[in-house]
Amino acid sequence: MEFTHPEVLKIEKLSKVYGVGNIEVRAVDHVDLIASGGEIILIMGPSGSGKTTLITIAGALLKPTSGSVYIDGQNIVTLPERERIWLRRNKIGFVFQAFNLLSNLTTSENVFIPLGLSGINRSLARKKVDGLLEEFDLGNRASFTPEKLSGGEKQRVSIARALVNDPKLILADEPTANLDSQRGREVMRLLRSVAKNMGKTVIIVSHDQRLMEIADRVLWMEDGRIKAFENLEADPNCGASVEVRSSTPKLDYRGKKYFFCSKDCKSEYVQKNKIPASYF
Amino acid sequence: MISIALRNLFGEKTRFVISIGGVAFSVMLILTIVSLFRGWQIRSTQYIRDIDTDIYVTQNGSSDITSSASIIPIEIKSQIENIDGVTEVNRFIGRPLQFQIKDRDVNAYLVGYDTKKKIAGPTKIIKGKAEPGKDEIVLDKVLMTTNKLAINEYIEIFDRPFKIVGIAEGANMFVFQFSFINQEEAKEIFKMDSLATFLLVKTQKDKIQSVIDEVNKIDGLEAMDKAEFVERNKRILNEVFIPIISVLVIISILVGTAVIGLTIYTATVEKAREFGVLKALGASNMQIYRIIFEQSLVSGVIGYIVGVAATYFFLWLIPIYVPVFVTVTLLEDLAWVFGVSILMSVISSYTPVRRIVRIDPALVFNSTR
Repeated sequence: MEFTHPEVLKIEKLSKVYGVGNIEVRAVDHVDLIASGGEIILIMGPSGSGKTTLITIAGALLKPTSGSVYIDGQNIVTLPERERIWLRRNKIGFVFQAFNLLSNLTTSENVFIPLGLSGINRSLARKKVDGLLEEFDLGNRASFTPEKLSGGEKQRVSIARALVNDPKLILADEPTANLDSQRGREVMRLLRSVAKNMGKTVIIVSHDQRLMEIADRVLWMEDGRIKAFENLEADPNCGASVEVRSSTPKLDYRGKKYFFCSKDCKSEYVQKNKIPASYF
Repeated sequence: MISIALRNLFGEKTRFVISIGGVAFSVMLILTIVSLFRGWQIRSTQYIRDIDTDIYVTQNGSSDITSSASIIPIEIKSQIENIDGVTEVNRFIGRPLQFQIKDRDVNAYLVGYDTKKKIAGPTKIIKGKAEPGKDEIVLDKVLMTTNKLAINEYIEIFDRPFKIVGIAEGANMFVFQFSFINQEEAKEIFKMDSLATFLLVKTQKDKIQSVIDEVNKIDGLEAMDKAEFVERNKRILNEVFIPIISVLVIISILVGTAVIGLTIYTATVEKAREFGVLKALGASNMQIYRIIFEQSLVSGVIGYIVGVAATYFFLWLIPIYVPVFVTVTLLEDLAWVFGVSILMSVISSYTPVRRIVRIDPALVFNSTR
């Protein structure tokens, strides 16, 4: 898909290393990524693969060990904390798995928070909040506190809050994880609308394969590295995702290609399926 | 900006009540102690303030009515009468002693009331008569109540029975109460026919200081205006009670600060994730400090209002059950205790604020609800 909007997010050679020496862990390892306006990128991968660390850095909440992150052309890595705070307030919207609504505030007050932090005129802010709540079908829930909302409604409030300051970039962490299938689909539709109708760049980190339906690009992250999802195959023995290009243990058997994560997996598969030696 | 502080404060009702209760309790404690002290200060000197005199003349170094004995030869009276500007000199006879009431020794201060000139008598009579005749006595209301005495009952002074004929009010010095017998009888009992405890000097309006200066030239005497005499008699109370009161006030402030501090701190710890969310959404540390501070401040102000209301109720109850206690609440005390409440709020928001600095906004990506 072609995107006419300029790059909203550009990540270059981004690394985040925890610990040193023997206990060094590379949570994010030389990641490059470009996302344009109106684009939805889904980043999938096993737990501990570095997905959350990546969007935490992209969200200006964590500093990387090396590399650059550009939001709207500005390298946020080198910004002082005061400007990173401003950036979070005005250019980034967050959608969380656990919704993270403030429990003592009503729906409209939760959506109002980013505007309040920016010090926007009260009547203008009210108009914006009311407009978003109507758009997200939350108008009749405006005075409810989070405990009185369903999971789907909470996530809609969370998305409305992420959008209220009109940011260019939306970072969503497992936005459908705590929702049943129907509510999950509602949220998916909403995120798609946010990108396609509002022109926002949406980066989603998730295990939920249904999100692939709305994604323009699906990336696979493993061991801190990003791989294009279309270049991945599942190891037929253990089920691990294997990058086609770099997979050395492979097998051509009866006109089909198999890719393995390791030699051991390959030999186990061969033994289990009694594949003749002439095939490998 | 919506007040997250107020929502947090009123959203957790139990914590809110504890926080307000802590401040209110400490405000009540401080105000009660201070009001009692003010009551002591003002009421304890009421009697000597009400005596109709411009100058008190005492034996040198014996101006403290509670613990020193002043004895002045009566012939000095005429010497003072001759000083320019003096219009009248009266004799005051009185001393602290113990009454025998219902087989118990009771501390009191017995005054010889000059009923002819009406000098040094009780300020206010609430029952019976003000002027005691022979073998008669007027007692203060507090002495009557605490010893369950009634009009027409008898008490013994130096093995002599005196009939209670009147009940006075405002003759309460707390360490003892003033009682009044006829001055002629007092001279006899105290064997002070040719002596006085103090001399009470009235002067022309503009001559008070010059008379004081002249009296002070007389060997062995010390003269002072009424305000100075009252101040000296307050001093003993101040010296005894201010250190105790200071300790109690400090303890109250610490209790109040600890209660607000702890409740706000636990609220902050419980809401750490929400503060993290605010940080992630772009709240600066200063904006979050403001929320914490506002919570503390509102607790302090509401706690103060509740505390003042509770104090007034408590101070209304005190004299019913403990008549010896008289309380006076001054506007200036309400003002500085309000300042203390605000100070408690400021101090108590310090610890939570330190905790806030350490909250990592990245924790918002932790999926725990």
